[in-house]
Amino acid sequence: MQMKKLDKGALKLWYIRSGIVSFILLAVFLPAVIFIPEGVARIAVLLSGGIPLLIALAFILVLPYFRYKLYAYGFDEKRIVVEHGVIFRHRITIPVCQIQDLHRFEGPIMMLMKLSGVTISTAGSNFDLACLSKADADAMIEALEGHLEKRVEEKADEEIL
Amino acid sequence: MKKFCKNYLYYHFVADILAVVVFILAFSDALIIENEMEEFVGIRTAAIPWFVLAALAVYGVLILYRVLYLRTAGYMLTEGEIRVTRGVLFRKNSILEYRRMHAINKKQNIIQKLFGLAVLTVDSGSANTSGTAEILIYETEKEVDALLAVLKARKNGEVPAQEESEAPVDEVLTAKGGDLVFSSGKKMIYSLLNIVSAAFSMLVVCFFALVVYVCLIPLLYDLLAGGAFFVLVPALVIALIVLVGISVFTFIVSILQSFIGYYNFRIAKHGTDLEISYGLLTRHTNTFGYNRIQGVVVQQGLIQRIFGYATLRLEVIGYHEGGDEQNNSGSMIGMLLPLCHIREVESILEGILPAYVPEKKQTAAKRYFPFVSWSSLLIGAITALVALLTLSMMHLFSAPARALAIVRLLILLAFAITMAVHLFGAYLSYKNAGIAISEDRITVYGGGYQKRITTILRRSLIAIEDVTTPMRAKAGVYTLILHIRTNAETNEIKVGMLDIASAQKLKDLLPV
Repeated sequence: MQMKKLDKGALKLWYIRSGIVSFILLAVFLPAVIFIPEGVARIAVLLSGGIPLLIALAFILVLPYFRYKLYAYGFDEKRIVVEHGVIFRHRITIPVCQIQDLHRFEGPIMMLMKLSGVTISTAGSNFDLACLSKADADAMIEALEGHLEKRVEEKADEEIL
Repeated sequence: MKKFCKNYLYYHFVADILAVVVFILAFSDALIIENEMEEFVGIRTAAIPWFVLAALAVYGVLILYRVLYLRTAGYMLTEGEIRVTRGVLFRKNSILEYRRMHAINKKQNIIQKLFGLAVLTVDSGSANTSGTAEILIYETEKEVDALLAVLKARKNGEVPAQEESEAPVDEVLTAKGGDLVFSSGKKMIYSLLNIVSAAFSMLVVCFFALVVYVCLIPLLYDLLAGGAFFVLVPALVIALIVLVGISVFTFIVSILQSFIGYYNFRIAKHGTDLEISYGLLTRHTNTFGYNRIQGVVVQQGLIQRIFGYATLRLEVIGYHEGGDEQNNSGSMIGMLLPLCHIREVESILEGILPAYVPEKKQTAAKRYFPFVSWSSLLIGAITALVALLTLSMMHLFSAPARALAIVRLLILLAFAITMAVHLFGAYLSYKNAGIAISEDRITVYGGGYQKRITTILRRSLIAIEDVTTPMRAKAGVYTLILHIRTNAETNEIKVGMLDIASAQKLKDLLPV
């Protein structure tokens, strides 16, 4: 099975999201530092808030790159495989015959960037494929619908035999 | 459409008074006059009529809602499906084919029993909507029993019993003398085990508190003017009183849970269905087909394990313990048997669900280190951050040297205790972890302080998730997450630290 990378727009989208979160964190933290008079209290706030904030920002800004680099997905007639995770590497195998329904989802920024996510619903869990290009998402859904129909027919034949 | 019975309204005339009482208690502060020292001075008598009016208004709104609900709700049994309409502001029309019905549950609490009311809920088996009842009917108890019989029959494609000459007979599996009986003796043991568990937890806490105290004695020497002994004794007495108090409280709760919560625990076989009923204040009657069962879980807490007891639970979509009328999702998956001896597990399951008898562990966890590596790193990092921030703050505010030493020691002890609890838990997880694979059955051994043996059939597997880190992959250690066809909260079973051969064997079982 050939594994595909996500659309490059996914990386941009994740950086935009990280930027928004970082902006909110800084918008809360910086005024608190500015308005506290100089002295021990300001140093205390800088230390207690600044260190965790720096650690959080480092993660927020670095993670998208590795997340994008290590994300891959692929599918064939029988199964869908999704690989993701930075420290803990996850590889999920979903049999096509277990698909209950397929959803395409888009948030406001995703719409602007012409990206789509695909949710694969099974009888047990939902699996999300993050940030494909709209064309890829449509093609994937269409292909999976075809594979599913074929697998259902094959399964029915197997049961009869 | 047949309307819900009027007893629903009479029941809420009484039950909603409780909501009004809560309202009164929540706002009762507004009636009390206090002085500057926050002492009671009097009651605002002028506000009482308004207060009564507000309480009546709340009661009125609730009753109005119930009246509208009753007027708009209804149900209908057609040839192939059941239809229910309900909701006042948001109307919900549910249509469920009989053949898609999963778990059929009857619930009745003590006030509902007084009014002869019962609640019937039917679950469609969709894992994503298993939290809420798709079909919910309020009817008289007699009518709900009749509906239960009709739905059970229609689910299996049979002609409903009342249309035949005689009703099918249930085979009661909890008949006297069997392993499945949750007798008074077992209820007492169940309660005692709960008390011992609570007391044991408290003893562990006391032990660690004592360790902390002893370590701090040299630093608190000046403060302990009468000597450490005179402080230690009252502290131990207080700890003992707390321990006894908690044990008594646990005992009362356990007795109530085992004798009232599991009152008249009954398992019956009804053709291809299993019926489990229990409870005095709230009576639960859960019915589902054998083919709807997705797994059996044998649970053992630490104390249960020491005394050789276990709890048996069932993985069935829509069958939970807890939850209310509208909401099926409870805190735990469905109960099969609250307590049995571990030796009896095999014979019980042989008799009732032979396909789910756990198999002996074939493969154990490969290494201990992966169970502790990342979690220990996380605990260490958090402790280091807390220590760094706290101590630098104290330095900044020129805290005395002794206070600094105490805090430093406390952080160190907290870290040591957390690590001790964590390492022991991880050791138990390492010892428990394992798997047994046969052609159509998978038995997963897992859990730390709470041991779990989960047996599922191959057909329940939906997907397999392989989780590893580069180092674990290099060492050939894999963790697999099995996604199974069951409730959204419990549909993942983790199989820890397998070798590559077992991981591959398990992956090959996934039906594609």
